[in-house]
Amino acid sequence: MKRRGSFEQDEDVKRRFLGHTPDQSPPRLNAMVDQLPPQRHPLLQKLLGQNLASPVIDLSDNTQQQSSGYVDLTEDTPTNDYSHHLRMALDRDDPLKRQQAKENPYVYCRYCNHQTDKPLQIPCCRHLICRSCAQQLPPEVYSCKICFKSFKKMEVETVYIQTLAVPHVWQYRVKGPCMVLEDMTFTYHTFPEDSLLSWGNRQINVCSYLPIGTSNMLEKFPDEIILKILHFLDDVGDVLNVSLVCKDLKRSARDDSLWKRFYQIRYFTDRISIRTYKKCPDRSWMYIYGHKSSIENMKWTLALPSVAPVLQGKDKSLTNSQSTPSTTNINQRDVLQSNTRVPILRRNSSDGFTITRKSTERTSIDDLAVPNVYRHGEPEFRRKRTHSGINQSRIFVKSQCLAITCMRFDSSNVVTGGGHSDNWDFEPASLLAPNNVVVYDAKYARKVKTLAGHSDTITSVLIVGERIISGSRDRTVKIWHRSGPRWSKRTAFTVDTKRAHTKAITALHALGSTLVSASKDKTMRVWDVTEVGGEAKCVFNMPSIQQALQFKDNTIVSGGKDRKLYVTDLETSQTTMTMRGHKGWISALQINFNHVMSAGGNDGSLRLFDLRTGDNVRTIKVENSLFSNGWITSLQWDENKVICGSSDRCIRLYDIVSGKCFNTLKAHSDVITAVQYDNNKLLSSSLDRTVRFWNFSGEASGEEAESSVSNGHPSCTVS
Amino acid sequence: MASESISVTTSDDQTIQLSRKHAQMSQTINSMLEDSVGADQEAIPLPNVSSEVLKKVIDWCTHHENDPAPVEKVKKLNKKREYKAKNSTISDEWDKNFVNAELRVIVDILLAANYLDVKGLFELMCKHIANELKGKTPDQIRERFGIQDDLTEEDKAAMRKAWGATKNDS
Repeated sequence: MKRRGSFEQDEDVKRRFLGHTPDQSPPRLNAMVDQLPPQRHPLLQKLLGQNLASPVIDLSDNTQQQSSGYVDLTEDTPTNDYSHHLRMALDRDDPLKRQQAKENPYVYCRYCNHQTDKPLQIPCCRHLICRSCAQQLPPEVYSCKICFKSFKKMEVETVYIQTLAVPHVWQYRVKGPCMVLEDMTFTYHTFPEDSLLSWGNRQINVCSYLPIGTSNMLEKFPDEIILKILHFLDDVGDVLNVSLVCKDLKRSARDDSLWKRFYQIRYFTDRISIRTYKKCPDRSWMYIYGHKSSIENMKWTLALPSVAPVLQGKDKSLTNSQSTPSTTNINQRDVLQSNTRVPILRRNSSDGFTITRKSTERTSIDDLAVPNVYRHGEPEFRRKRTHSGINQSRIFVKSQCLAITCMRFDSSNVVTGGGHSDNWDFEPASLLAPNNVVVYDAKYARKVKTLAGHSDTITSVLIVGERIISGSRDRTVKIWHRSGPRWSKRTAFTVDTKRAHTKAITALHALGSTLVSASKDKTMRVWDVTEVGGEAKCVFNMPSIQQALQFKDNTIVSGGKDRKLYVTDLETSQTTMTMRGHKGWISALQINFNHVMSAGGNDGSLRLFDLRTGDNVRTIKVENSLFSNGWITSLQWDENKVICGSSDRCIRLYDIVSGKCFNTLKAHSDVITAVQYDNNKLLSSSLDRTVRFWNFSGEASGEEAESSVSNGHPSCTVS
Repeated sequence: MASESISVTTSDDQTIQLSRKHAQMSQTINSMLEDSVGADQEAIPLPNVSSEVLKKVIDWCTHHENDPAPVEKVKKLNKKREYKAKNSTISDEWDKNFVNAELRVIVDILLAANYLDVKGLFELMCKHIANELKGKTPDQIRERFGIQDDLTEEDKAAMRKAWGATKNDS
């Protein structure tokens, strides 16, 4: 800018001095490229021999041989814009103009206004001057008298010419003198243009900048280098744009390693399910990524040739209930419907599927074991609460999400977290599903608010006063703080996102303003809920992934994949106790009265530990209607009973004292993800998108309660 | 001990002296030196590098000669998997200035760095070109790099269809 200022000053001085406005011509760009080695070219050899003593170039020598370059001799007023160059280029190709230039070689010298037939041209501004004026130019200072542009002479080997209008660079190698023009912003190397413009048999157009031959800059690169460069692009959109450029780049941009990396960055794993492999027969990571990320590109139509045939196969495998027309152009909506659930998970309990039958047979034995009092309650419940006699429960809410992965309620609201169910077994449809936290009215079961913001399945929700805390597989914990007295459609809320975990959140627990989150990155972090943003107050590095945690009075109890329960002190940040006993992953736990009840996820046992001593005071064996695959997903207990939901779609109620199952609740058609009860009701959520309401009275009225006590069973009935 | 300076011959028949330290930053020259321990008087021929570009490379080496060598990652058995995007921001101020050159020069330096196997420089140039590619539509990329469009309309239509509306697409 400084320089420009001084330049303008010069202009002012000049204007006063000369009494007229000087031409402000653009810098001349005498660009050219040729594949021909310069040494071989006769014109260049000539140039090499020639010692340019003056900054101007003698045009007269070449006029006879090279007529094409000299049309511009007729126009001695350069214009300001670059269309000037274009016009020149067009003129050069125009035979009429060429003829004119031949016929009238006489021009007026810009310095002395005398007519001359052998003008010299100043390379920067293309002013034509006569030879006598040129000789008067000082030999060291190369600058035009009119426009004050300065240039200098130099010897160069390799010159890079940059054009102004399009930032494009030509390389030209020359040994010999050439002009270097200094402009305000660029340095231009200027050649005796006329000899260069028509090198070989190529006509090089100064203005179109693109030579007839190829000048692809990336062409020089081998594929590996292009791939390395593409690896530095972190946005998928950029890579897609690159792939649309040309065939070579398209090939490079489809490279597996590139897309595998995108996949890893986004999903923190490089594992994919067999089903996806089947869907992408060419096993290209690009398609796999596309499958999974179709949630973002809603237009992913799966009309890709490699994908569509497999979808047909998929359709055939579907059973009676939903069959989509198996055309190759299945659009996303169809896929969504057909793939939403594996049929076996979608059927009602009345449908005759083998697994269902087995489970009913088995659990009917359980039913026999249920004491009379609970059986007694059932008909009442049916009369009161349900229309059909099959289920004891009613569907409380049905979610838009593909699955409800977590659920909590308090006195006024029920909060569910949505997502898709499985880690590896993803389908395009599951990616289209929203990952929302949905708030329902607990009384009327109406949706009152959808809290959208998570980009992956929500793994855990909590209600703490006026805040809803949700943790997700997208590595974030979000705290939704409502501003009104209750959640309603118009309630304004603020979102605070805690980002520190490097992997999916697995468990959350909060009391008061303290929030503890556990993640797959094997850490637990303690947060202040009231503080917006901010860092974790402390970080505990755990020996394994913690999948369940709760805390109470500065004591965090957590358990995870190494089958041990860790008791960590919040203040001293030290693990004070390790409780062993489980033979499988710990998937759920709850603290009550100095005891902790934990569920071994896949060993089918509930164990009660004394937090003071660390003893395993009681073990309850949980029967499972699935052969060996069932695991307990959630539990809640009090002094009398444990209620646990498990992956065999049943909710079981156990007597803590005797360790016997006294009821099994079956209505859900998929894995139970959360159970919670209070005095009046039991709510259970499941991957079948529903939350079910079980009218569940802790203080059963009248004789039922008495009889339950007399039977030695806890005072709870399902009525 | 061999002499402190090493002479190399570039593609345009120029002989350039460079110090041993700089020469050893290039794995290619380093291995050549190790191969020819006895005959270190001869100039090392570098047929793929021009003197202009080699000077630029030496500039970079001079500035980065004291950088710590990149730590060789030891493969652990239970390696913690962390997937991160490669960061393409150029942090060093000097590097930013160095990169601020014409694209054709950058391309040549990149090729030279690849040939000479100078890791840091190669990465820097890759980063720069990646930054050039970022946020550009296909047309802009073609214009910037002088690439001719050889994709047919059907190709493009198929790709657009496959990917939905890619952003910034014209």
